[in-house]
Amino acid sequence: MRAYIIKRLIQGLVTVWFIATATFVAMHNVPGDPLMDEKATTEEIRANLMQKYGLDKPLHKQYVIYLGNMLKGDFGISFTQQNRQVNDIIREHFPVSAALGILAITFAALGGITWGALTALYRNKLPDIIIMFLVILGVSVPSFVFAALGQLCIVSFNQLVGFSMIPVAGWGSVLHMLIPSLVLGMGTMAYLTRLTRSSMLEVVNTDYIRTAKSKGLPSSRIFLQHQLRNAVLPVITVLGPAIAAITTGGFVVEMVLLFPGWDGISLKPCNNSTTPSSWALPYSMVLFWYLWLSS
Amino acid sequence: MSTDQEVLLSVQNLHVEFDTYGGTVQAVRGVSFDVFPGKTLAIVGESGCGKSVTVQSLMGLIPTPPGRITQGTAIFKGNEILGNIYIDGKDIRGSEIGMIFQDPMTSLNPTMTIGKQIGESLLVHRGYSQKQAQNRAIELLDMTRIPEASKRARQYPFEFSGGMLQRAMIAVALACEPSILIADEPTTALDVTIQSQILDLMQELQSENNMSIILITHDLGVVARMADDILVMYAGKIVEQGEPEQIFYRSAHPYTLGLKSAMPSNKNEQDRQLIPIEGSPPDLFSPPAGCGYAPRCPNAMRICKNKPVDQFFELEKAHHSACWLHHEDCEVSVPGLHRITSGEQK
Ligand SMILES: Nc1ncnc2c1ncn2[C@@H]1O[C@H](COP(=O)(O)OP(=O)(O)OP(=O)(O)O)[C@@H](O)[C@H]1O
Ligand code: SF4
Ligand SMILES: [Mg+2]
Repeated sequence: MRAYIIKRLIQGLVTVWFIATATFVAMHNVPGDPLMDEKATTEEIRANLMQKYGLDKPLHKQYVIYLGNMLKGDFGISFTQQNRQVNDIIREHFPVSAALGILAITFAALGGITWGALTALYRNKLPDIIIMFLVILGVSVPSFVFAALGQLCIVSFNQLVGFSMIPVAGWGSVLHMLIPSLVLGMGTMAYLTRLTRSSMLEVVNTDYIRTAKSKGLPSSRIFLQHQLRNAVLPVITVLGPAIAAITTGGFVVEMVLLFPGWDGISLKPCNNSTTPSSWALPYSMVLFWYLWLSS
Repeated sequence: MSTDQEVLLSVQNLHVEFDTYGGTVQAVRGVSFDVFPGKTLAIVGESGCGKSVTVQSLMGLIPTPPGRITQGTAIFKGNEILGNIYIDGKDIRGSEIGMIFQDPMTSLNPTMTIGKQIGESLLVHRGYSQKQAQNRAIELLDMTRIPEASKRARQYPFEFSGGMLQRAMIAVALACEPSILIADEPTTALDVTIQSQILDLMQELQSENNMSIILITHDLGVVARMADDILVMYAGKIVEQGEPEQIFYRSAHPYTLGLKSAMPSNKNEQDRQLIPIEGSPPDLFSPPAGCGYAPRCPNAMRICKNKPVDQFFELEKAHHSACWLHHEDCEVSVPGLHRITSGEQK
């Protein structure tokens, strides 16, 4: 066990180092540099800024500083949001993404297991066919469509009740999170539904279910205590990666629904190509992913 | 058969079919037998002859669809149980009839403790509390000779060996002290010494509770040791039935003779060769028009191919064979086959 943990830790370190290095190399090979966007830069200002941010040093020195800072957990200051620590930015935005992610995963897991159990119970009958059709929709329709559709639904709903009962976008109350978490969890829920269904159908043919029947147990007890319990196990094992996927994969939803989350922030600089400052953000997402997957 | 006793379970003319892509399989084609209190009925026959389907239809375990019981009755303590396993609204499985299976490794729920699985039927059928059920489960494990029963009751199936699991499975099946234990090849998956221990255990518990056993097996050695009555099945039908002595020493069906010569014995017969039965059982999509064994039978006659053996010939009291060789008009003599002597024939 101990050898295993040590092995995994070393693997983890190597992975993180590799990602850090890859990010560094990639950023330095992107045309342009962090100061290109600055308006009216004279050569002098440019040189000063380069010096301030350490960009005048040779590449290998930058790399060593970069790794050293990272070891200390210091991701430096942001270029785009003047003089703010990158760590502060993560700290500010991560809880938003996390809250949304937790809500989404709860919704996905509960929904997925319930729908999956129903489809298995009504195998090849109408409820099964309808749910599996919706599942295919859920898997194949991209989340920004759902986000937009969700907004439309809320708008009509608000019109129906006559006042703005559920906010359409933005961040604040639990109600704000309702549609975003539904949308964010949709794909995962569809996936978990399918997984639960096939797992249920596998379990129903096992010898121990036959034993449970031969004991004369009521079918509700067989279903809950024997079938569902065992069928849910493989679903639980994919929840770890699913949580990572949801908390880091929410940027589309966050952007459509104007959500001040972690994901939207970390990818925004990439769009503006003023990127290098935000090494830390995609990087921290990867780190988060890794920790989840290896746990 | 001990006909002087009262019958516990009487099965008459059982027919079971399965719908498959290839057509309808007639898995059981008219099986009848009686089970007596405290006695062991053994069912023997090659793979696929319908042994498991026979007992599963008694237990309401035939998956429907594709399976279907098309004919027959099964009277247990005066109640019809075929297709309706409830007596007075109560499920008799687990309470009146217990069952154990071939593979103990997969027959128990991997995510539930052994103690819980034993206690479950007591909760359901006997209204025990969780605590009472757990205590009784420990007693039952003790009764099936599992050491450190109270610790074992809290463990999961993966912590048990195969033989231990079959003991635990017996404890599960016997929790409510059923009057019949159905054992479908209970020792096939176990090695020989464990096999023998499990059989001993079953016999011991049988005499303690005056319980009947329906024992399914391929192994004539197991039959010889356990059975009070024997059914020999072939292609969904019973071909010979009788007491062990009759079946082993006065075999009256060519198939039984074939089974015997394919079986090793520990008597001093070094020069005796084992002779497998040529060919394989008929496919039950379209069972042979005549005797099911005709395609493989070394003694088959013309009538055998055309006319099903729709009657049992009684050789002695409780000893029956379904073979045209016993017809009064048949004059063929087969070495080793027990015949009706003219005095016995009615
Ligand atoms: N669920 C099912 N669907 C289709 N056919 C089935 C099903 N269960 C059993 N059968 C068929 O019924 C026949 C009898 O099967 P059964 O399991 O009773 O044989 P068996 O005598 O118990 O053999 P074995 O010694 O291998 O256990 C077989 O031909 C099998 O193909
Ligand atoms: S009836 Fe004919 S084919 Fe069938 S076992 Fe007897 S002799 Fe053989
Ligand atoms: Mg079988």
